[in-house]
Amino acid sequence: MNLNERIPNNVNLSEDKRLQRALEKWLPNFLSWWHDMGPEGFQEKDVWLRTAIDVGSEGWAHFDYVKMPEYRWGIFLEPAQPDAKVGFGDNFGAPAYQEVPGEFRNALRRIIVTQGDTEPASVEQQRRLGATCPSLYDLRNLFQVNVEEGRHLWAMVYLLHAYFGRDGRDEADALLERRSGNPDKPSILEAFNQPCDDWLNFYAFTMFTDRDGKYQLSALAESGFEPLARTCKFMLTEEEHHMFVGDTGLSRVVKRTAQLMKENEDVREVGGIPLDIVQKYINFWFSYSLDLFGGEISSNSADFFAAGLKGRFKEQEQYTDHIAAEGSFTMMVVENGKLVPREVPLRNALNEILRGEYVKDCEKGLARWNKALTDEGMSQRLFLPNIRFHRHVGEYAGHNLDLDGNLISKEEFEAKKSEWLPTKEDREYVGSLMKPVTEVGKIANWIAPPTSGIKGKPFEFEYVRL
Amino acid sequence: MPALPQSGIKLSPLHVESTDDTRDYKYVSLKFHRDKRYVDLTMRGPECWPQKNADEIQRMGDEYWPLRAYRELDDALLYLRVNEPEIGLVCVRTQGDIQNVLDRDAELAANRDNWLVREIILLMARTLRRLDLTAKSFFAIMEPGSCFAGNLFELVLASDRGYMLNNPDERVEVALSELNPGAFPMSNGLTRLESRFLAEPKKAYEAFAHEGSFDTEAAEAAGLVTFAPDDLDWDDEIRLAIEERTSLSPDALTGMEASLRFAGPETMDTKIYGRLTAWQNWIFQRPNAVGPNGALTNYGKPTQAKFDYKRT
Repeated sequence: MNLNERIPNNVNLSEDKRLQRALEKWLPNFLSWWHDMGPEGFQEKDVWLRTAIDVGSEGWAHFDYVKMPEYRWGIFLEPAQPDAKVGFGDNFGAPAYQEVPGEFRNALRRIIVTQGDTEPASVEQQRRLGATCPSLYDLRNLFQVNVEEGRHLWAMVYLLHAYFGRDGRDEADALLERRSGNPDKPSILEAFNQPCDDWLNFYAFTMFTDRDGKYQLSALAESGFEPLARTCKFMLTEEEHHMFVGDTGLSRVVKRTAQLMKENEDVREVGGIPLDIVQKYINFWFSYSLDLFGGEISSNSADFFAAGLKGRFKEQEQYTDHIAAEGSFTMMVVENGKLVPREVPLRNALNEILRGEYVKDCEKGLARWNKALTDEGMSQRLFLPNIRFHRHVGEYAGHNLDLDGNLISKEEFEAKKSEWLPTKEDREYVGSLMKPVTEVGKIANWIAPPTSGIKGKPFEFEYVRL
Repeated sequence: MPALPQSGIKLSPLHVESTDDTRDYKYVSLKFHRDKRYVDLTMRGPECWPQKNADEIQRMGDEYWPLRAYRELDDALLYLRVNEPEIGLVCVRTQGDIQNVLDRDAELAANRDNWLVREIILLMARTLRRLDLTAKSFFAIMEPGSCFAGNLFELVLASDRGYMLNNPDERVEVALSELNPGAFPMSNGLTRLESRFLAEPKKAYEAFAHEGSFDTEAAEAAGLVTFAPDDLDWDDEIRLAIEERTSLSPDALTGMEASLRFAGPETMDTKIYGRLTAWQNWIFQRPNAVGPNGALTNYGKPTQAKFDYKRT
């Protein structure tokens, strides 16, 4: 097989025998994974998709109809910066690592595998959503997200294949073997084992969980290991659309609910999704996504920063002290059943600092949704729960906290749980609304149409040919 | 008891040529990479000659390859210990013809009752034990043109890791001889193969019983080598392995390596050299652990340990 023709790339694949050999074995496994675990029921349909065929502003946004298994997953890195330097940590100012430094091999492999693991997992989580799409526009967006998560898997596999030898090839194989939600071989991170089986879940997932991806990728885009930094920079350009899908998707749900509330106070009567269910989905996905940032106090974060492997969000733009060896960060921790402030050395608090950036970004989404409510004349408001609520990783895991972040008893939490998190009934109700709408220009009753289509096309466009 | 010798042989001083970053003997060469804290140690195998009897060996005296090469190896190891404390890793290579090494082993085995040959074998065994007891990491690098066979295969077994190139176009082979099953006991009284396969003694006997040499795949399957990267991965794997190893705390490595090198039965030697010096007296009290820049002191803190890389 001529890999260089088949795989758009800017990594000199035609000259790189090691990479060719690795990909020749991996590509069939990837396609078989895509066949078994990719979007169900639409593999043979023409979908109007964006394909990256180049890193330039023209090339990365090439739109056309394509059948998903024939999608040209490519390998793209942002162009190299001459004289790139390690931008932070103990080796600040040293030439950037063009090869994996032996002493950081394990740490880097772990970072890349953890990032890579999320990509196929999200495709698996979303594989049955096509059957209940609210419109062809949304169906197309789902598939766009799926194929690009597939490409992001390629991006991480490229790094493993090109820089980690046999270990890397084994890890790349293992990425295709773990399965989201499978108890025997689950995905590494818990948010990627949660079912994502209705479109409200999908929008919340792309809003909150993909947004974690943005912050992780941004931190890795600062990496002193230049191939990783360049890979992540390009991935970020694609990730933006995924968050757009989630952000506007939820906004459209909220808008439609507000419209239906004007018809009938109980929107269930008129087939809408009540705001309290939307709020519970926010609580669920926001809290699971916060876990993805890791422990509040983390020696890994300190080690990765010291080694110059993982920086802070916008490290170069936002900070002047790139060593960060001094200074501290105060956070609330649970001690003897009380929340007390604790001062933590800055480098050990970098997960929490990145999480803080993420929360600020999420708040912007909430503001947009609340504006949608205002625009429809509604006074109700959606909100983000406190970051301590419903956590499974870090300082607050194993404790019970309410939506405002106050410690409460297990009994109190259990008593309130059905008001805070989606219940089986909530999920069943949302599920009951999920009926496919596949007529061009039509949309399901529970969601408002988008304000515009994709790439200049109207909403009334045949985004998927069924 | 063999007959007492009529006369001994003369051991001349070893001839060494050194520069800033090399040290060359007749059969042993050291090449230093001080910035990366490792050294290449290359042993050259014997030349080809018809099998000699005891008298002929005695006439060769200290020019006889097994004696000279191992005296040089002994000297090189001592030199590294005393003069190169910051060199943490020794990459062991060999050059030569496998058959020539196996022929010398057959010669030694055939004459093992001769006083001189017995002394030579004992010297080889002691030198190999010195390697076992050297507080530096050893990687054996098995590449085309190498001759890790018989007595020289002990270098692979004595090393902490063995890397053997797997390339169908450039075969690499290793082989065992009649000397491997007993002539070079370790400090624990076992052969190196028995130590390696302590939990699977059958594998040691299978390796001893193997006819002919092992190619890379056979050696890997028999558990004789640690890693067998192919030609595309080779350079990068070796580079990464070297960089990774030399970045670790030298004291921790000394302890871990001693624990792994001396598995199984304890003797006074293993207790003193393998356990006491390497473990209790070393790791936990050393500045690399508990000093201001030590690993334990810095554990969980934002600062990183800074090691004193000197090894004994």
